[in-house]
Amino acid sequence: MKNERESKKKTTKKANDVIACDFRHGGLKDRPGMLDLEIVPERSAGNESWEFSLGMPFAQAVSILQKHCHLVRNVQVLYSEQNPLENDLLLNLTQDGLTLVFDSCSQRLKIIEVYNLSKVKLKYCGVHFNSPTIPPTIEQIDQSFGATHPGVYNAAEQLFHLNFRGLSFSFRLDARLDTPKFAPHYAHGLASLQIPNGATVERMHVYAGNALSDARAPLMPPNCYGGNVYAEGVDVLCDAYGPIGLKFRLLTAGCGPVMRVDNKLQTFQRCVYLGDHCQDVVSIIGSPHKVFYKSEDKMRIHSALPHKQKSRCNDYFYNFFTLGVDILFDAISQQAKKFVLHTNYPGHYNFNMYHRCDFRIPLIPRCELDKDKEPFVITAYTKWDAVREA
Amino acid sequence: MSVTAEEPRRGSRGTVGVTVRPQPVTEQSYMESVFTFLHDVVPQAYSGGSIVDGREKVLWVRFDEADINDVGRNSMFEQCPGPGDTPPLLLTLGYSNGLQIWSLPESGEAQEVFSMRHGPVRTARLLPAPLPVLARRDLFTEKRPLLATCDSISSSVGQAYCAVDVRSLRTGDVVKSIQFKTPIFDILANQRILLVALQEKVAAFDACSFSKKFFITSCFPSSGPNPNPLALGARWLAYSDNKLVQRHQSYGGVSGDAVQSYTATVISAAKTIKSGLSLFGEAVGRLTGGRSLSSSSEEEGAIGGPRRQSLTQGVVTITDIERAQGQVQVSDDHEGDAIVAHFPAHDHRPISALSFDASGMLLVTADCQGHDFHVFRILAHPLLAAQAAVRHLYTLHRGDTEAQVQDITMSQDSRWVAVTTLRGTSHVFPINPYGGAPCARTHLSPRVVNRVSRFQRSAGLEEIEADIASKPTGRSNSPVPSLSPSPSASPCHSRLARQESFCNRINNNPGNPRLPPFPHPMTIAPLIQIRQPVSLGRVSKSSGPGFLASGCLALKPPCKNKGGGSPQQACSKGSSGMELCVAARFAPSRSQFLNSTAVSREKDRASVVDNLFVACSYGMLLEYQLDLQPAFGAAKISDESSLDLLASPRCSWTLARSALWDEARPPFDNNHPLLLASDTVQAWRGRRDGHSCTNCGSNESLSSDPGVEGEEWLSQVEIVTHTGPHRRLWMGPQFQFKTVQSSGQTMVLSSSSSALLSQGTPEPLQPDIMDLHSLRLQPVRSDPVTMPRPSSAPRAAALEIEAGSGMFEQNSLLLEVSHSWPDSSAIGRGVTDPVDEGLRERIADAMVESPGVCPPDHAVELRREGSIETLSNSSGSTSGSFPRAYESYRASLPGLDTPLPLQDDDG
Repeated sequence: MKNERESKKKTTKKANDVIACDFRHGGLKDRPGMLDLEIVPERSAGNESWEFSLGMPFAQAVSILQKHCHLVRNVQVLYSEQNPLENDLLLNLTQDGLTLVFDSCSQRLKIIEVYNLSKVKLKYCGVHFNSPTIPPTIEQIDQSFGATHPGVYNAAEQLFHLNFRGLSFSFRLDARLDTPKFAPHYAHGLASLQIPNGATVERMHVYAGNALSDARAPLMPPNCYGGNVYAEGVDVLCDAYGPIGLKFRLLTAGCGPVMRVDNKLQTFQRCVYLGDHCQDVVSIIGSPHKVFYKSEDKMRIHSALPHKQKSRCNDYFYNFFTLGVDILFDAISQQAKKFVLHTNYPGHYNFNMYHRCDFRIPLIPRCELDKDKEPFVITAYTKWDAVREA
Repeated sequence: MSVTAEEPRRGSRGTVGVTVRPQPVTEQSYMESVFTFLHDVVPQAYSGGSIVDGREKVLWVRFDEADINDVGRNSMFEQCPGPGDTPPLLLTLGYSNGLQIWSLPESGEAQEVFSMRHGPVRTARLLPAPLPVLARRDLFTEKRPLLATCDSISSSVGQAYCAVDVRSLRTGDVVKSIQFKTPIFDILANQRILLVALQEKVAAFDACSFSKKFFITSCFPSSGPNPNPLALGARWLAYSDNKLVQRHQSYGGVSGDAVQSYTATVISAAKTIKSGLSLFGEAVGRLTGGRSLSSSSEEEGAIGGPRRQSLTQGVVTITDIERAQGQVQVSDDHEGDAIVAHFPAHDHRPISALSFDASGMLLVTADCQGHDFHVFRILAHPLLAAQAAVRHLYTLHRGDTEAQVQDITMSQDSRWVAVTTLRGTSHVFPINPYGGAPCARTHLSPRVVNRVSRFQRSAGLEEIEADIASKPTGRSNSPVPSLSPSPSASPCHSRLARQESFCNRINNNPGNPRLPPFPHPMTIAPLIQIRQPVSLGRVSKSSGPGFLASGCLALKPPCKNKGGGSPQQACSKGSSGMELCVAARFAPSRSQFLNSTAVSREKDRASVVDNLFVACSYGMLLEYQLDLQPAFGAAKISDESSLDLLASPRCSWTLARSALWDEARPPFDNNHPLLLASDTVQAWRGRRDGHSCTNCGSNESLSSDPGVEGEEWLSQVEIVTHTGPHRRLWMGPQFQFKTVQSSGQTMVLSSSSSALLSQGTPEPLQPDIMDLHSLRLQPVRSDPVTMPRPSSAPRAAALEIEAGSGMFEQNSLLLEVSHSWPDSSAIGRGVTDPVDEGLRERIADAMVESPGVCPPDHAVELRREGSIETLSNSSGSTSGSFPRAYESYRASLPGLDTPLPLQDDDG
């Protein structure tokens, strides 16, 4: 008995060691918690409980990863500090060999890239084509996905791309083989025959569009809305004295009659003005996600007369996280008196609290000469230097 | 000790009428009243009984909102009330011959602003000036202010009280008369419409032109003092509907009585099931001992006469006034785009009173039984009522005896509710506008606090609770939906809601507050009950036995001998003669002058609860001082302590009209308060219609004093607009933020993916593959040696926060301190300091490592360097030593475990 127990202990100890070892080195063995994703070309990658859909906002992808933090241990967020709009925003799941590429303007998912197929299991139509036991060879891909256009060879990268619609595989050529055989002019129907057997997939991309090079982030799919209202864009309405209100172009889904289940995407336009009552605002753009009562105004210390006004005011903010807008209401008259629009740039303290508000603010021409010119419009992407010049 | 009534001052004709000063009610009288049989607060003013001789008999009282106390548009009242800034209270008294309107400003001297003897008046309303909208032109600009009355004389139809007269208080003539075929019960008005409540019908007229706007014919009558209960907000109208249509039913609604048995809950759920679910109905029939519920909804009874069988009780519909046109109806055939919410508010009991709060997001409802009042929060959807939600926040439990509700009022900050019953008792309940228990933290502070306290937020308690709540439990499978969602939610609705929340769980959406499950409502008992003596006062010989005064709108004639012909309405069966018309309002004190010492005056101003003004149909207005304290006897007063409220009468005003007084009718002088207010409000023009705003200054910077120079910029800055999460994204160990350099040169990189993804701009996407050293193309700068300014330090730290347990605490401290943190793309941000730029770049360089080139020690080295420069010394020591638990994170740094294509163990 005792021996049995001891030996059991030993085996379990060994098993633990093995698993720990694999975990640390990310080895080929099937580690527990390896992601198992179903690939839908041009659409998504996911499993029964969650999926990353193309067009999904950054915040939703992050919340999925946060909810499953026991599965996905390490995520890197890569962004450009100097020019956040030029480079894509990336979520790199380092231990799963997966990168989610988000368009940095709209902050929606553009490309799902698997750069290390040994760390993740992939399925198509319920059948694995990549797992520790099934290597993703060219034959496997052929078998799982069927025929397609012949592959394209890119000599600079030494990669062979096999493109399906919304899906593309890249095979690396072994340097040992004869490279000249795969000159581009062989690509007309014959080069595909020349991929040596056994070449495995180096990378896989899921995207929307005809080719990977012009992949665009699609519109948010209806099942990502969850009854929330999102803003495609916000125009600031101004009169001669200044801003008077906001014009929203809104999107929402899941709005059919209760009996019907189909999620139809609906677009509509609404305007909210300064001085609108609470009930007006809620009728126009819906109820807020949260209400925040303004706490002690920290800026008041900079005021010339800090003692004059006691902090008795109960002004409150309506937070519309999915629109990227806050509206401040006066406590006594219950009227809107301030709009706050958020741009949600990575690196900011409040990153990932609000969706990006794509606003357009036309500047009022100050002098007579400017009246004929096109008014300068400030958007969420304008830099301060441009504003100063205007 | 009786109070001597001074002879009220009479103003000269043309100005305001009489002025009445408040009479203090002393402490001694309060003490005496303790020993009376009523055991409650009794204003001493009643004890003599003689003061009101010679006065006319008041039939009804009501507080009003009109131009004179319109805080939004009347420029005399700015925000944050200070001395002299409180809007006056408007009180309307209805007599058997005419009516009287009083204004009670902050000085405490009540002014009679209008008095008329024109026969019995059922109801009257001062009409506020309409909203200035370009599309609608106000036809009565010169005639305002307007008063709408319903009296017995003006109706051309045989029955009395069938017409609404709109008369001008500037010129005195009747500008509009609207006739109806059936008697009118009530008139309501706001800046958009004039609303007339009839038997089971509501008619709405545009405020500018009094043309017909919309009408409702599906109201469910109430047997209480108000036969057609309505609540009118700025844009929404809530009424008691007579059926529940599932197509438009909102999520949520009443959440089931706690005392209901299982059977009762199942029955109430079954009652709303339409045909097609006969199986369930049969099962229920078995449970209830053979009482069969057929599938046809016609026989599912409401309690009541045979006419009412096909109608459902307890349903409230909220409609949007702006969008409503023609007949407003909730039915399967109509699209219902004017409907904001449609939900059951009380389980199969008719609604007897409704009221919105100041913000219009809370609705308080009362049913005919009067045991419980419900507080709902309306979460509207911009398109459909079916996507809206109604959360049942509180059940205000008044008691177990029956009572009829005649008035519901809420304080300005929506933390207090006062419900007045027909017996004259006002019950005061504490609530929070967002739900949750009222306690010392929420109510003892002068301003409204957020739901989550600092402690809860920093400890992450809120998110833990949310996690527990969102985990799928067996609730959704239980046959008794008595827990959230509500039992009267239609099964289709609950199925769809479950589907959507399941989808949400699939995609882990950022949460939609409109989707169930909702937290269970909380039951609150009244903190205090203020009673008016019903056995005192005059009993004039001519009045019917046992009736002192008719209720506000109950239609018993005051005197049976006189002809009247007004239709009878059976009042509640229980009360016989114990009826009093009482109205209540929360408002800041008007009796400050009574305080002799400056100390007590300060204490007045510092009070966290507004005083309660109660007007009753003795013609008296009483001000009760409300003192709030933590519960007596609590060993330790903490945030969660419960509360005690003490009410003591401060002073009273005797407002009943004497027969000797003159009428105070138009034409008035130009400095009459009503005329002045109307002029001011009409001069205010919203910005929307493009007119130049006469009060531009006060409009632009509502939160700063426009007169003071340099203060306007304060209103341009907001630091915190939301409750931040327990932990920011870049703090967490799961997420690491890395910046990436983008160079100006075009370079061929070894990374294949970047060339595919971008049009030639080399961007390093995968730090584990490409050679990042080559990207460091910054011009060589001299590294700054000095310590960075505090404002830049957290910025650098925010770039890269590795998960050292010591480090992030330091970082968060620094970040808390420096709140003047402008958004990088916000207008108004100055160009960053070149020193900061250089420092930031250098640290960014240090953070972006290239694997294979920098050994792990080097990586740690770089980080330590960075941290020493940015943080205080103590953190430098902790960052070097990584706690054991985070071994895996360190191991997962690029360069350590990610296999490079050049290595052999891949493929």
